[in-house]
Amino acid sequence: MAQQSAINFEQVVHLYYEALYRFAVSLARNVPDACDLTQEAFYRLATKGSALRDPSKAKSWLFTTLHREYLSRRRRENRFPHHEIEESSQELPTVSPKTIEAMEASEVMEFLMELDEPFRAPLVLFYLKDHSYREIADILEIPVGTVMSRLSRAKTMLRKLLTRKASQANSKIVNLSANPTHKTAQS
Amino acid sequence: MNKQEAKFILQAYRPGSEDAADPQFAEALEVARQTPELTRWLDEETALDEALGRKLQDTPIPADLKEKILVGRKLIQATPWWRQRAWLAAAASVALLLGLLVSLQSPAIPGQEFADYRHSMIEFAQHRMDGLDYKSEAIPDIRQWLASRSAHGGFVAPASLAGLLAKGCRLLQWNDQQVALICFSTDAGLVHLYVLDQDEMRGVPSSEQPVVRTLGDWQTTGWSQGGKVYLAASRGNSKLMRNLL
Repeated sequence: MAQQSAINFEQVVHLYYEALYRFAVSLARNVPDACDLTQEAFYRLATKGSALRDPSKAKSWLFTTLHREYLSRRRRENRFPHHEIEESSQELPTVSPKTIEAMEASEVMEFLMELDEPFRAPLVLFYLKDHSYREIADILEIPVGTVMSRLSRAKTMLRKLLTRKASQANSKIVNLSANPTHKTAQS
Repeated sequence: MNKQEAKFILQAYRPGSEDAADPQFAEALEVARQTPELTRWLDEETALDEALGRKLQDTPIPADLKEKILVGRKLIQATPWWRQRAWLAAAASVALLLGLLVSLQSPAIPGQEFADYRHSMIEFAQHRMDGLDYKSEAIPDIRQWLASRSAHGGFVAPASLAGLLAKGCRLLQWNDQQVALICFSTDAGLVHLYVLDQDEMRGVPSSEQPVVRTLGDWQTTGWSQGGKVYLAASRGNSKLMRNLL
């Protein structure tokens, strides 16, 4: 019986630890805390033998536990800076998929990390594709309608950040090529 | 459903996911199919979502994370059925009844081995020790913190440790028992002091005859005092461990 539980635990780890870590790193905003949150979630699963009886429930249980633990630590430490991102416009700025493809994964993650947690968490779970939006609502312990509206707002905020980044990159290129002094100095 | 409502709902739509079967999405998709402008928007939206999702899936995973998680599992031995709460309550009632009816000497409940406990704590120190729950250099503060959590706040540190600078403490769980880890700092590295209730543990050394053992590159000293089991562990500080008590 004990051996069966151990096998199940390993299977559950194998199935979900990567997605769970990606969710954790988006919340914690750094690798050590993300590793710690991921380990903590599995540690708790290991001590709650009943959750292992149904591996499909273990998945949502792990994500819910990790999210609760993150919120609990944040309340205790209160060390995360709060970023207000303007979201007045309902019209989404245009961002091409090619722009995203040209970026590093870490760069995309950094943009996601700029969103406040209430918007960041549903958006990351949405992109991870491991959960239906109803499951996302269960994990975050918010109504389905709230998930929808937060997703919508999160997407608007993320695109604004990405557009801003793209325009900054463009302006840098223009400045360099249009600066004759810089060109002379280099030649 | 109008165009605006459909657009709002479809922002949460992921083609090929189980969401697609949801009637809400089905209705919104139907509106999109009848509106070329909305169809175009949905194509762009899903293409961008796909691109962002792929990038998120590319986020690298620390190479040793899985191993750390699995090692953590080994520290927690499965709770035997006879220690589970429901069974414990039922067993207690039956034992009481039997005790009243017959005066048989019941066999001792199997306890835990000190050697297993020591092994688990060293495994923890090697692979899972990644921080303290409470940081303080003051032993009274650490005692207070532990006491407020009913977790061995009255621990008795040997005189050789009491003179050291504390780092803080952390709470662990071993076989449903709470273990307090108090961390001390020495010139030759850290010293861990693990404290838990003696209860039914077997093979526990006494304070008169502490047991010094080396596990890997960790030196340990174990003893018991006042109903509590103490285990001190240090890496590279064998002299202190030998002369701890």
